[in-house]
Amino acid sequence: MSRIDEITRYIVAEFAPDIRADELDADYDLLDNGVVDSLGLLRLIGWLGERYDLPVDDIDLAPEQFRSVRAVDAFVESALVKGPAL
Amino acid sequence: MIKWTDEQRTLRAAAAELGAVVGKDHLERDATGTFSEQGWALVRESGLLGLPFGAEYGGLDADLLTTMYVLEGLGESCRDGGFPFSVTTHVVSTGVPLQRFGSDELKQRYLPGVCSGSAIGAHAISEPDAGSDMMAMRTTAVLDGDDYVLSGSKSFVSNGPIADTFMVYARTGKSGAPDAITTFLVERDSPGLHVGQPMGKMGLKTSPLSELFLDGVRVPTSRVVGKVGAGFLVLDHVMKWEILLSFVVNLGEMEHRLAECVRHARSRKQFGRPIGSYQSVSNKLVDMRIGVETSRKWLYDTAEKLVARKAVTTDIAITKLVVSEANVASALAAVQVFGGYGYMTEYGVEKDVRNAVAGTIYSGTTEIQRQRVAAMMGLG
Amino acid sequence: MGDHLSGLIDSHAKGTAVSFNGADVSYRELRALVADALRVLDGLPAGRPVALHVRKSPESVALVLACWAQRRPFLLPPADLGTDARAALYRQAGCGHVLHADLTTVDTGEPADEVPELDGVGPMLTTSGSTGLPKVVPLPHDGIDRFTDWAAGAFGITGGSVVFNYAPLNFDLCLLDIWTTLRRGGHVVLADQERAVDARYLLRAFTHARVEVVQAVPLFYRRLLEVADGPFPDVRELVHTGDAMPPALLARLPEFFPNARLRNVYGCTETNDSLIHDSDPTSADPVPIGRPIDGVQVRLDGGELLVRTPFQAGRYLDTAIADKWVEVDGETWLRTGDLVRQDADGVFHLDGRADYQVKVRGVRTNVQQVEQALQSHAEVADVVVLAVPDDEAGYRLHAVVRAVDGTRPNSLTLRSHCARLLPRTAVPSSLELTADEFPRTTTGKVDRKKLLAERV
Repeated sequence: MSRIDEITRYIVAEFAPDIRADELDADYDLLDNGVVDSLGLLRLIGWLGERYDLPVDDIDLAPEQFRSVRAVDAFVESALVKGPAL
Repeated sequence: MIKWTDEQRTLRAAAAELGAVVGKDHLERDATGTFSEQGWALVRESGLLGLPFGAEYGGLDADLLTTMYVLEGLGESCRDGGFPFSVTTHVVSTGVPLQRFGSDELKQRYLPGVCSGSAIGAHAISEPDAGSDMMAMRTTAVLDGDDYVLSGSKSFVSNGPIADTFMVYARTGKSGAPDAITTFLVERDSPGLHVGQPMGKMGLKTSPLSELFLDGVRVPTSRVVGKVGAGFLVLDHVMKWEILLSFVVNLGEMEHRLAECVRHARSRKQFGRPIGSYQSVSNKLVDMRIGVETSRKWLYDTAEKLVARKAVTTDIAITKLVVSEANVASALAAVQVFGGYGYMTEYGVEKDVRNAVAGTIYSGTTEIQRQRVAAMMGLG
Repeated sequence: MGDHLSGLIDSHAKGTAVSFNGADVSYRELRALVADALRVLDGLPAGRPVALHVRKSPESVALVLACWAQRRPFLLPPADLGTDARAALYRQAGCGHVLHADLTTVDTGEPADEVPELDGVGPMLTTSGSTGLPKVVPLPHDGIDRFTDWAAGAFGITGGSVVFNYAPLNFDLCLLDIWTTLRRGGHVVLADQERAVDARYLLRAFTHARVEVVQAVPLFYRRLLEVADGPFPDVRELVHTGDAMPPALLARLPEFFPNARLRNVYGCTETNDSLIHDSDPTSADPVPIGRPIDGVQVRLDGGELLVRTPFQAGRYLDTAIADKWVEVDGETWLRTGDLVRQDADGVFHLDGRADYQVKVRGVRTNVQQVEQALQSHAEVADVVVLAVPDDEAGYRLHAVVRAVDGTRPNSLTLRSHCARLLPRTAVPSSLELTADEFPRTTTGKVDRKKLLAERV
């Protein structure tokens, strides 16, 4: 399973359980449409940090990075490229 | 079980020594609601205020766990509960978000003042109409040229009357959206910023608190801390630190209180026997002990998880709830163990009850913490 | 006999007066039933109010007419009200006896010297109260006379007109369906209130005679259309009332009622019909409540609609309940509790209930506006938005959505739809799709309390 699929599945399972993963468009605005609220954002960031071993506490986080599945995937990509910072 | 190094123990001993001195005239200051200027001068000299911050800014570069261990020592020795609260508020309100989210320029400009204590920090989050719900805040920040213009009012600003630097959280986006809030660093002498009169309160009377009014305060875009719209994430980070640092102080207080109660229960006699030999008293002491141990485990376990980059949102909420409630229970039990003396102001035991109640309210009430845990479990 | 019933039953009326569960009752038979009831009523203290513990039937219709004929005030509480609440209402209205449809009587034991002032009052209907005990609304005879005159003219009810009655007997809606019809010598087809949600039964009842005028809550039309095959070309006046008509349902009505004028009537028990609007089935917007009917005055107070009608009660029996009746410039007005706005054409639109306003993250939000937004989605058949108390946000919104048959909207499409129409705080925190019917109160309105209780 590709990373973007995995992210999609997590978001669907946690925040929109009534839909199938293939119904969530990668560009769907998760924030403006209220799928992910403020606490949901913390859950999502927590999950990403653990799942991909990201140094989320060292990255300059902004909600923009979690606006859509595609944005989340790009966030993970860039965080991985930077490598685990200390 | 964490094994503390000699260096860590030395730092804690220094903090304990400081706390004992600052706490000396705590009853008088509690009665008049006076912040200890002298204590602040001492704590500045000690370097304690720069504990978790980089050496390049004048800090001690201590890690989170060391910082907590040292503050626990301060709590254990300092009978003035409001003073350590002002200390932790200073550290977490401005230093912590600057270190994590601040631009290099902001760090260079403001972190040295945080570390040295020359500029006292505060943060302005809650509002009269929004309560604990930061997403409901009405204070707005509107971009105008190179400045944001802040308008609104903030309630319950700890350190407000003595602060030089405020972290103000204001709305830059759609109300209710997770990206609606932005964090601004605002200097006290900014035109349009008004600090209200110190407000009377039930406990933590020596830590001054006020309202803050922002009447078209212009803040340069360079003083945005973190990205625009990231205020909620900044605050989440700050709250983790605030809860760990301010409640580890409570842990120290509970340890001291337990020791005092045990000493009293073993020495005071009734009907020819030490009162501690009566089960009704010993049960209370055992419960106090359980409270101390549970709080210690939650505080340090959560801190270790945070350092290990684990998701701790749920742990933080549980820690906050467990320690604040244990502190209230411990303070009430102490009043009962000390009987009539516990009830009298001059023995300083009843004041702990008033101080402890504050802990169940600030940084999100017990109810909010429960709801947060529920939300993290995917419930509603 | 004829004297007694003059003004209540058209004196020249012949043929069928009432149909019920497949049986027809002629005007002659109805008069005989009234005579039976009068014999019983004559044995009770003259002028003393009575309570009618009845469900809808030709016999209970006759019983009401008999009370009316004696100009005796009568209380019509909801048939399913609990015993204690009923007893409390009997006491309040000073009812000496309770009558059942089979004409058995029960002495309430209420003292005769504690009868409230009821001069000129006929029916005493009830409306739900905030305390749990319904409020008694005493309707004056002269107001009812004015109402039936207006209604007969507005909907063309004359001798021989066939009118369908869906509402329970204790509803003010019956003033149009039943009481206006009988006064004008028409034929009223009664739906059994026990079977009000049984679609097949409703279709049978509705097709028992060639119905020309029908007034009902939207639920009735939805039920009927579920099972109806063909159109009902005899219907010339269709009135929907009592609850918001979903635009998707309204859009289907012309197909089934090709010759009907579709109208929305707004009113309440206290004032009776107050505003009326020709509903536009081609519009996807919520149906406006329209303009005041002749003789009705309206005014706004902070968005809330106040009305004053020629038909109104002007008070509750318990005069201690004064919050809804207000004096303005020496006249008595009813605060409806409905938030409305008037458009450039002078047409009023309902924005929701004043008491449906909640604060979500500090922002005043009307759950009914959220419902309207969701309702305007093509795949939404029905929706209820619940305000769930939340320690942090104050309230959060939870939407329960029933999809149009054969469609499967999902939470994402509905969220986008809401986000386009509503402020961010009004986008529900959670959406739930259900295939279940919404629970309804006896008045046919969605039982929000029950839905909420099931979800908290």
